[in-house]
Amino acid sequence: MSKIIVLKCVGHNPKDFELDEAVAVQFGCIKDLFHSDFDAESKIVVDVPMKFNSYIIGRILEFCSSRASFSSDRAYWEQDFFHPCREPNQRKRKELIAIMEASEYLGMESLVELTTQSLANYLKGKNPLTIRSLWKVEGDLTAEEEAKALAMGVAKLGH
Amino acid sequence: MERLGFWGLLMGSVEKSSDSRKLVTCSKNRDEESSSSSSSASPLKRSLSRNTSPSRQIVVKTKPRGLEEETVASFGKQVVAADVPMEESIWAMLPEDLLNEILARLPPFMIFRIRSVCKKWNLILQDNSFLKFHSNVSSHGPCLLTFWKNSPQVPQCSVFSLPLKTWYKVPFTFLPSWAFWLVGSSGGLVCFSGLDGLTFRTLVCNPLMQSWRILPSMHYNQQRQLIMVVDRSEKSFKVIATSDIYGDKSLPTEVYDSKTDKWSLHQIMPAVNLCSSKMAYCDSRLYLETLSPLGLMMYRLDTGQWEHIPAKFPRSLLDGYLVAGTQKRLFLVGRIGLYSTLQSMRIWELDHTKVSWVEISRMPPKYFRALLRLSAERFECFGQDNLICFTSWNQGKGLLYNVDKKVWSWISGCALQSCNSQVCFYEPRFDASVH
Repeated sequence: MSKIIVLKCVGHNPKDFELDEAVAVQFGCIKDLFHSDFDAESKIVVDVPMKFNSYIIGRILEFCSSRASFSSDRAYWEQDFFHPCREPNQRKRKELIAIMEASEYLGMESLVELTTQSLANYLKGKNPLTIRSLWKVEGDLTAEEEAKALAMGVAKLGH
Repeated sequence: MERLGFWGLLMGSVEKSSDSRKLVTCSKNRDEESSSSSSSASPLKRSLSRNTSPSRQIVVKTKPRGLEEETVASFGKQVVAADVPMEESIWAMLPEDLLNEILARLPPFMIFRIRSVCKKWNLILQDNSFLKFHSNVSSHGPCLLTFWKNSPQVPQCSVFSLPLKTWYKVPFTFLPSWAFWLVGSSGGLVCFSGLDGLTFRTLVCNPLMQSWRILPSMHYNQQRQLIMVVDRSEKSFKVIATSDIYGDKSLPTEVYDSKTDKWSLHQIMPAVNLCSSKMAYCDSRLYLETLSPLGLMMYRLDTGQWEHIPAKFPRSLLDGYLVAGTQKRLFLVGRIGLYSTLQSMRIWELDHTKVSWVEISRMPPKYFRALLRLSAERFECFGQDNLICFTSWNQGKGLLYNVDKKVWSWISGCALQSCNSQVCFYEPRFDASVH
């Protein structure tokens, strides 16, 4: 008597993912569907926007199923994306950001927290100039505004 | 290494290379040091120490001062990000709410610095709703706040973040010259007291936001033992004033409530309390150690009444610091044993039903010897959230005991060298309001 939710991914590598209840309830936007008045046997298809390709969705579902089985997924995920001793991997960073955006769209709070924390860890300990040059953000403050921003609040000792 | 007044402060940041730390070995450290590197060192540290020439005489440069024991306090995973260039305009393309989520997970002291990255970030990071959001997202670990006065009497404040192992200098130019005693910190607010001429005053501030306010005067103008508590759910704070510091005047207990901005009078404490380090607040109750009657006096905020708790102190107790834990937990910390060779530092927890102190932990001898070389040495003890901190001014070290995990560890990267500074735990919060 269980409902089936299907995530339909289009684009480069189209794929359909069937989710069981344990996995589907972790998606904020989907879990309500279980409580709606649909016929018990029905199959509900959710169209995933094109920018989230099937690989990304696959990774998210991997997280969900490991979470559903209560394994220590967080450590594994952090290691995978963000290891201090490994060579920096551009593809991995792109993947991390794509997963973050997709999990936000799908309403997966725990994964949003994990991915945003990883990205926050990137920024930790870096000064504004480094951040600007590495992440291609344009420093568009006037000298006065910048001085004002820096004058406020606390300073890291030694800088 | 810049010397600031009485202080020598060490930047113990993980990212720093080993060369920046030119350390001098204390002769006492040598015999406790083993040639094998510590088991808890990160892979990065271990590879660095292998490259230096092994010698028992010289301290390996990567080890921070005082780190001769194995265990170093750690707070969550500390990953160091490589400087990897990202794709073009990745940050500019991020949706606003995701950018907020990321920035909200940055350590509070970093927020000020990165305001100068660009206009967009400058606006986000000043927005009140963002600051409130930041305060409600994950905790950034325990911090220590230290306060001292430079010569000539210029107030200085530094905050040490335990997870980040970094010191931050907090400008304290707003502090009036009379503010002398650090009363304590709760929920992001810090309370000071002092004598302004003949008037005893109190002040509350949020060091992160540089906001502050002098509280109205108490009914009785006397130097008092004070404690400040914040109620985050009510968005208010209270300051409780018990007896005067000399213990010779019987004064009514006064309680300041930020909601009414007034002090109210309550029952006179029917005992003499020892000193402020023997006071702790938990579960809406204030506990004090008293001599007569011997034991604890408990003040209930809801009734405004005192009650005697006849919990007998352990025999041969030398110090007797009271430390509040989470929920209803209350700890007693101090040394047992009159003779220095037989002394040990112990921690007891109050069994509320049996009204007795139950020993829950003993400081391992190696930590005790490292912390206090002489039996007459002074140390401070304070705590919050089931973390108990010991600081020894002569040794310039901080030792932490995690009651839940039952782990003793040194606070690394934190070289404290002053007998004139006051320290407490502090939680930097943007949303802590002085009103």
